[in-house]
Amino acid sequence: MERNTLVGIDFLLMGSIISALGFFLADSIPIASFGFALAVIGALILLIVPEPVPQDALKALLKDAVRNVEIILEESGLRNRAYFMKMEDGEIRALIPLTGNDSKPAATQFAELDKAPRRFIVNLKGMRGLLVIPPGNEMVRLAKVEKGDDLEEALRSTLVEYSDLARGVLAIEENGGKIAKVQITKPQLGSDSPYFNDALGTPVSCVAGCVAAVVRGTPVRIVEERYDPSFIRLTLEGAGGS
Amino acid sequence: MAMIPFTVFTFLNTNDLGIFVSAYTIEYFALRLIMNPKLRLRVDVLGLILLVLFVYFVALRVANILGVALP
Repeated sequence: MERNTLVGIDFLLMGSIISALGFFLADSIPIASFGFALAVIGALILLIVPEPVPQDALKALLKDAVRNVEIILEESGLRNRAYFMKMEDGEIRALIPLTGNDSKPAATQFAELDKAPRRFIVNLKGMRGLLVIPPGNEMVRLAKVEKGDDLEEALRSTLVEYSDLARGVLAIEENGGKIAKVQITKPQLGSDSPYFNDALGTPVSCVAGCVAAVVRGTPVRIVEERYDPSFIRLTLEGAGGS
Repeated sequence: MAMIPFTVFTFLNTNDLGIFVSAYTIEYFALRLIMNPKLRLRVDVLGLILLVLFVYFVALRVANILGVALP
């Protein structure tokens, strides 16, 4: 049994005993209320989710992961916007294409890529680039996001409720759901890696891209991103078929 | 939180359980708002219990003032 649970149960029991003794035996309201306060503190300790790893340590690990991808992109000289796509096995991958942001791969090319063996370097029927696992892939699975969910609700449950990476999320879908404009309030994580930011977006935007890819069920790309320490404004565009 | 009964008792010279429970309820919600801890359960069971007790003691006090006898 973990420490928080033990302490919580201990306070709850002691508080209940002191409260009962104070109220029934000693006939003293202050003692009874003191016991009640202890019991409430114990219940609160039991209810709070313990943090086994400090938040700073987790953020540091994520920053190192981002820097690794940054090194690869810097060596390759790639800064094109990545396509976030959910593969058949459920994993989310980001394809950073070799060609510029103007040319978009067709739906059939994405379907072929899904069926082909997973490779880091992709060179398949005119589609060339690097296929990486973006930060946020595992988080989206743990937050239980599924295809067909409401985009704003899915973003909120992943970024705010599950991971505390942001304080609030707003999303508007336009053009029949093909374009989504997202505002993320008070992102808790930034990035100084220019290649990573250009290709995959800032870390919080990267997670948002992963969520959108799962919800839509089609590849998604961040076409525009405006980063500010107090908010992020994103435009996500669906690519490929429905 | 546990210091409240002694402070209240010393300065207000009161022996009313309802006052202590009301103080705990306000303190709990104020701290919850400020610190915003993540809870294991979606529904705040503890807050609900404190609110119910708060309402009960307020109802008792109101009935007492109005002279209405409660069962």
